[in-house]
Parts: sequence; structure tokens; C-alpha cells
Amino acid sequence: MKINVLRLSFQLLSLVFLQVLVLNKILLFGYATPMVYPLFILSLPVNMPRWFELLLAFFMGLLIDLFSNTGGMHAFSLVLLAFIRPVILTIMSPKEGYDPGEKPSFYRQGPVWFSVYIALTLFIHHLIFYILEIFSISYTSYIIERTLASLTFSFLLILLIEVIFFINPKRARL
Amino acid sequence: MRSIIRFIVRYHVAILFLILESVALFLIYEQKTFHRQKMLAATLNISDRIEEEFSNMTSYFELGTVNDSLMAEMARMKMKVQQGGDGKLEPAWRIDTLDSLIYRFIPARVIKSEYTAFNNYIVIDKGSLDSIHPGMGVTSNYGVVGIVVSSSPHFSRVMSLLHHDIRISARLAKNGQLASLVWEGHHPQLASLRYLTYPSPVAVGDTIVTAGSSTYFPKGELIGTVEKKELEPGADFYKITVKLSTPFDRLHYVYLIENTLQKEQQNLEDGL
Repeated sequence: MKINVLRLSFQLLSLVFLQVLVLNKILLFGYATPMVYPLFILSLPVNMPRWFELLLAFFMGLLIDLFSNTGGMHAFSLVLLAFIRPVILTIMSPKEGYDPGEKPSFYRQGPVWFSVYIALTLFIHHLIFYILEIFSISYTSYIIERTLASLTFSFLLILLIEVIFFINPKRARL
Repeated sequence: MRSIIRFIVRYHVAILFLILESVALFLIYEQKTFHRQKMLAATLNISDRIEEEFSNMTSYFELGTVNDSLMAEMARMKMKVQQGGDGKLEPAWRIDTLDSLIYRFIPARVIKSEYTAFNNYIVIDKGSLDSIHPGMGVTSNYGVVGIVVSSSPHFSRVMSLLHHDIRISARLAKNGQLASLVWEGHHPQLASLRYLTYPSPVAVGDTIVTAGSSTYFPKGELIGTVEKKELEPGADFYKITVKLSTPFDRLHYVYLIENTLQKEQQNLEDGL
């Protein structure tokens, strides 16, 4: 499988900088901080070698951790996300299976499929992240509140990014 | 031997996953333990330089606000000078002017101020070359900001008031009653005041200042105002929410406080 290294690194770096320089400084209603960088892992081709996916996730997470002084929390939750993504993809696979090299996207699989996919994977990622960050049983309700608030925010932002920046294949061919 | 290799080849994804996750957990553990703060000083340089460039770019947009806050501070200082160094800010108890030379103030620029995490830090552009060292208090013209926890040659990291491990000894400015300020991780503008004993004349809107009993801050640095007060029947302590006077999302300049007698006082207290 051919991997476009330049394009991949551009996507990775732009999402890291968007997260670190802009989104990490947002705190909506005292709860919600959006995290959109998982979009990078989530839109990798479905038949990407799994070890490569894991390494990419670890590298990206570490990069964000370095900037936001969070040790390895982003790395941990992103590697977990990369690990369970194929499982979720298998569960949600369409009847005729995926095309080789197919990338999950808003336009290709349709809004409903994509929303469910994003919501499921992001929920796991956010939950693990806030558990690691807060790390205290007495704050359980606070963990859940923050997870849900941030999840809503990230979900909407990712849909927005997907609609604006990713090319609609049907329209592109016209 | 062959079966081991076959095992590794077969489960390479799971093995890689476990290795990466353990490395991440190790990094988290290192980060959470305190001695790591000192080691961090070496590694924080690259990301802080990028943050510095970014804050250089964006700082121009904030000049108006910064000027306004500086003017407000000038006005306050002029008033203080007129009143002979104490006056109406602390009506019930007075700052002793004899000990005012203990503290030296060093200005610094904020490169990065976090306020969205569970434990927040601030990075400033002065480091050990400017004789900044861990244990120095940090204030701003708005009020108390935090305590320096690590410094590299050009940068320092400050544990802000919005951190779960921070405890600031505070006083009710009205009558000098002691209490302790903590942040419980809900809102970047609201902290809790603990151990204010019943009965007390505390009312909503009252000023909370530093107590001066720790070595980090001089007496009477502004912390915030009382936002809400509760007293459960039969309880010994009030439950008080304090509105912090420092806006951590708009912090541009801070003062580092060097206490020239810090070592002496700590040695004495450790000996007790």
C-alpha cells in the first residue's frame, strides 16, 4: 500500500498545532475543552498496518503531551483509540466490506455511519483521557460531566472540519 | 526459540500496544511525581520556544488591556503612597513597614497560561539566569498567581492557583482571621476557602488576602473576594467560594517575589 508521507505529516502537524495553540485554551461553560486531533487516526485508511497505526498514534500523542505538559495522557488515550479502531470498524463494516485503502469519511460512508463511528471512538478516547487526568474516584461525576461536555464539542468540531476541509469525492469528479 | 519468534510475529500488534501503553503510563507517573518538575526544566525548552514565538505574535492584540491594567495599578500605587504605605486597604490590621524590604519583586512576561486542565501551570520568560528559583511566589497586578516549581536557564514553570496541590494561607482582610485557600477544579475563576472558623463577620464581597505566614508571599497580597458563603447547622467552619481576582485567561505580566529571608525562616520552622 502506498502512503503519501508528505500529506500524512502535513495533516498530523496541522492537527497538533490546532490542538495545542488554539483548542487547548478553550474552556466552554467551565467544562468543555474540544479535542479534535483523534481525527487524524480516525481517518487513516482501513487497511493500514496496525503496528504503523499504533506508532503513529503514540508519536502524535507524545507531541501533544510535550506541548501541553500532560506526561503521556494524550499518548495513552490515542494509542488505545488506534488499538480499538479496527475492532469498531469490523463491527460497523458494511455488507460488502470496505474497499482496499478506503478512508472513513463524512462523504464516503454517509453522515449517520460517520457520526456513530466518531461518537463511539471519541467517547472512549475522552473518557480514558479524563480518567487519567483527574485520577480520583471522588471526582467520578466530574469526570463524566467533563467527558460528555467535551465530547459534544469535539464531535461538532470534527464534523465541521470534515465537511469543510475534506473533498467530496462525488463533487470532485464532476 | 522458534516458537517464541512465532509468538511475537503472531501477536506483534498486542505486544506493541502493551509496550507503548506502558511507556505512556510511565511518562504520566513521572509527570505526576514532584521531583519530575525539576527534570522537566531540561525538556521544556523546545515547546516553550514555540509557545513564546506564538505569544510574541499574539501579544500585540492585547496591548490595550495590558495598558489599562498597568494604569489601574499605577493609580492604586499612588493612592498607597499618599496613605503612607497602609491606609484603607487593610483597615483592621496593619502592614509593618519594617519588614517590607524583605521582599524583592522581579517582573516577567507570561508565555503560556493554562486554565483548562485539572492541574494548571504557567510558563514565564525568566529562568535561573535571572536568579529565579523554585519556591518563589508569583503575583500580578490583579492578585496572587502561584508558586515557581521549576526553572531552566531561560524559563520557569509556575504552579498556578488552579492546581489541586496548592494551598495558600489566607486571611479575611476585615479582621485578619486565618483560613486556607484551595482550588477544587471546577471553574478557573472560583476557589474554595477552608477552615474559616465560626463565628466570623464574613459577608459576600469581603476581600481575601494572603496571610504572610508562609514564606512565599508578603502579607496582604490580594487573592479575591467572597462570592458565596454557606454554613451548615452545627458546623465549625464556613463553606466559602472565593472569586479569584486574577484572570488566568488574560494574564500577560507577573511579578516574582524573592523573599530574602526565606531560607532562614524555613530552617527555623524545620527545626521546630
